[in-house]
Amino acid sequence: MKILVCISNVPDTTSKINFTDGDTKFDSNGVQFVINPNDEFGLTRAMWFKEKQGATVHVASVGGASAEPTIRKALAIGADEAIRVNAEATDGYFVAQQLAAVVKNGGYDIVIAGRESIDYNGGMVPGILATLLDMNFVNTCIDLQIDGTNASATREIDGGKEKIATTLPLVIGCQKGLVEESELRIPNMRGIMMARKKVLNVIEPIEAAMATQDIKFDKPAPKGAVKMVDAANVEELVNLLHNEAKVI
Amino acid sequence: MSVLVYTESDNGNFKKNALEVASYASEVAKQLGTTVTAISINANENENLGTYGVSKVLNVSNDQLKTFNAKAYAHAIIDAAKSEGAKIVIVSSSSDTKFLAPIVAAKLGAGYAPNAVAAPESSNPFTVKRTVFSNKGFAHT
Repeated sequence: MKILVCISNVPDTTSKINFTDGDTKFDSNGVQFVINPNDEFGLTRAMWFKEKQGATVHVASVGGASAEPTIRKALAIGADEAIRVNAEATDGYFVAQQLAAVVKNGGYDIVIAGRESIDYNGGMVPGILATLLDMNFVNTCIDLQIDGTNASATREIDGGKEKIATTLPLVIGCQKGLVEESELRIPNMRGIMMARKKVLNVIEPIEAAMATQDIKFDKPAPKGAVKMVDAANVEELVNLLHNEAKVI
Repeated sequence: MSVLVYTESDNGNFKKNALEVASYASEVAKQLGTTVTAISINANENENLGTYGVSKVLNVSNDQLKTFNAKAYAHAIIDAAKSEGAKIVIVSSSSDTKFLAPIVAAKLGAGYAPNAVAAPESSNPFTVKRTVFSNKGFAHT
């Protein structure tokens, strides 16, 4: 069983978000980058398949050289090999096309990607990837079992869970719940040393179009001061909710 | 060319988000000077969508679509988009629609802008404000 885990290099969840170049780009100054949390759940599950079912685990990421420490971390956690597509991950459709080319060349049985990245929150890469590759697809996956070429998955739906039986090859859009947070792995010194010797192939991107472009960014307005309204003054309350907060 | 909106239902009844996206689609259509067509699957009381600005409803009645199937539902939406010549397809942000929307976008060769929080800022290029960085920022896509 050959598994590809798609990794996004994203700002740490505690990062302060700022924009630069006239609010057209994310300001990465002083920001620490990590494996996208949803991808990390997928990587941990892939490591389980490696240890229990003898799977081979590769990781792939679309990004510049600055993404390599994050990719090396995935190797330190236990992935066997890594691939970096040497292009900026600007648009989900572009990224999915690059990853589709990697999957086609690698002959993977399972592709695991986070259901969305915590930076641009596109939530489209797994779905587009599955469509481009004509592979079965389960999104918001919180449990995955493999038996030969059969897969049993559970996905989170609004207000519940759904069990799905499907077959390989399969694309999984995973999230918290696929493994417990306590099962996430911190690379140990041996893993870090071994990761230095593991293969990290850098490949050039295929020609692919972008479907969307973020032309400008801004931040939510700072929270205003609390306004106290007299309990008897319903008219004032309605006026504020309607004209200022614009929630009714 | 109309704006197509997918109005989700559960056991034949429209979900609350279906009415919200119908209203949103109506606002988009108004900006573009066109009309809204809704696609619903095994829904009852489709005429109610008129209240929310929908001028035409394509209701798919098919027992095989009684339970959600992302691929099959996506294909129904794709067929509707093609038959209506829709350039814009609007869906909610429920778990099911987030499952099928990328499939629809990939099959139609269309861009996908999730988590929209406001009416479009312009129609050419089509620009919409959406949340990014886990609600710590907005992108104008």
